[in-house]
Amino acid sequence: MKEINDEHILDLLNNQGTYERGFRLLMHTYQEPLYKHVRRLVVSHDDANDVIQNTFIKIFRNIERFEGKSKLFTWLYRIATNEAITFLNSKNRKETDTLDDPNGSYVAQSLKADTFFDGDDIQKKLLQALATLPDKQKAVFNLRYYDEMPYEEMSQVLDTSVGALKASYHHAVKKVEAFFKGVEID
Amino acid sequence: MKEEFEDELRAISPFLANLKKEGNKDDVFKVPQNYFDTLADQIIEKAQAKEKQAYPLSKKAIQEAPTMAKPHFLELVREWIESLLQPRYALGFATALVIAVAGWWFVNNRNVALPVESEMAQLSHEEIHQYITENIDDFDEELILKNQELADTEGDINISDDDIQKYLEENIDEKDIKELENKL
Repeated sequence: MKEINDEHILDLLNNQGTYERGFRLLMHTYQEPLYKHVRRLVVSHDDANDVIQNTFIKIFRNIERFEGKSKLFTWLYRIATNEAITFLNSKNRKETDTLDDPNGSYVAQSLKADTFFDGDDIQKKLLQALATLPDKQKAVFNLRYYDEMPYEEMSQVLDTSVGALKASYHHAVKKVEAFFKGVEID
Repeated sequence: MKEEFEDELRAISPFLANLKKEGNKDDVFKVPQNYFDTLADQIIEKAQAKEKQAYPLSKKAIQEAPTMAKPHFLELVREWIESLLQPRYALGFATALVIAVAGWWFVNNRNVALPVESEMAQLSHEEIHQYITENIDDFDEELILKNQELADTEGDINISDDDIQKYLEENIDEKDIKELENKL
């Protein structure tokens, strides 16, 4: 179903007269899953909004660079993930408080004040656990755990080998489990 | 949850697999009302504003702009020469010309250092002799003696016994001969 949609979207985007319609259809199809993916990485809605706007502006201006070597969805995920990781790196440089968040307390505080978060304590603790992971490992965990993305697609999104991704996911899961159980892990 | 993902997760962490199965609430993240309805408009507006900033003239305007007739080649040359004679270019042109002439003169008139051997070959024996006499103190004695020995062995010494006898008879008197005999 999505492949047919992608073809239709790309046809519209290839024609200057229907470009905007094609872009609107692309956004209608992918904005929510991309937003969720970005939100899990950056947590707050305001940050997610900044990242998602930059992501779609880049897509709007660079759609001709999509060569069709991967699925459109994979390409969009790649741009969104890169944008989110760049954002996190930049934020970590600006706010030294968040640079080192070994127990996820910064995220816990943010979620307490976030009116756009509706999770229970377990969900909060899971996000706190994710905050302790390095940014790229966090992206690996999210793509596999929440989005259930095949490793081959993840490899295209994150530009990392399948073997390295399996190892990274394994390590991330172990760290999250240890966080819940209050055990330290390297 | 698809079976392959659950199996993988359970193999790594049964705890997280159960957590995901029991409480995987997918809509924990809320967004402001009508957020997704208006997002496309906001993005298209911003993207187009950025494009206008980068390209103030629209592609259509550029394509539709009237093209100018190509000037003739001689006309272009004449315009170029005239432009060089404009006051604002003339000063720069004159400066460049002066630098170029000075550079050409310098390259053609500078003293090119010749190798030592070729310079020495141009000196006459008299000049060399005069130089050595005037600067004898600057020469290393050992070097002079060494060169002298080399010069002696290099030359052909072709003197017969009769010549030596004759030289001695002419230059040594009786007194010297007796002194020599005493020393021997």
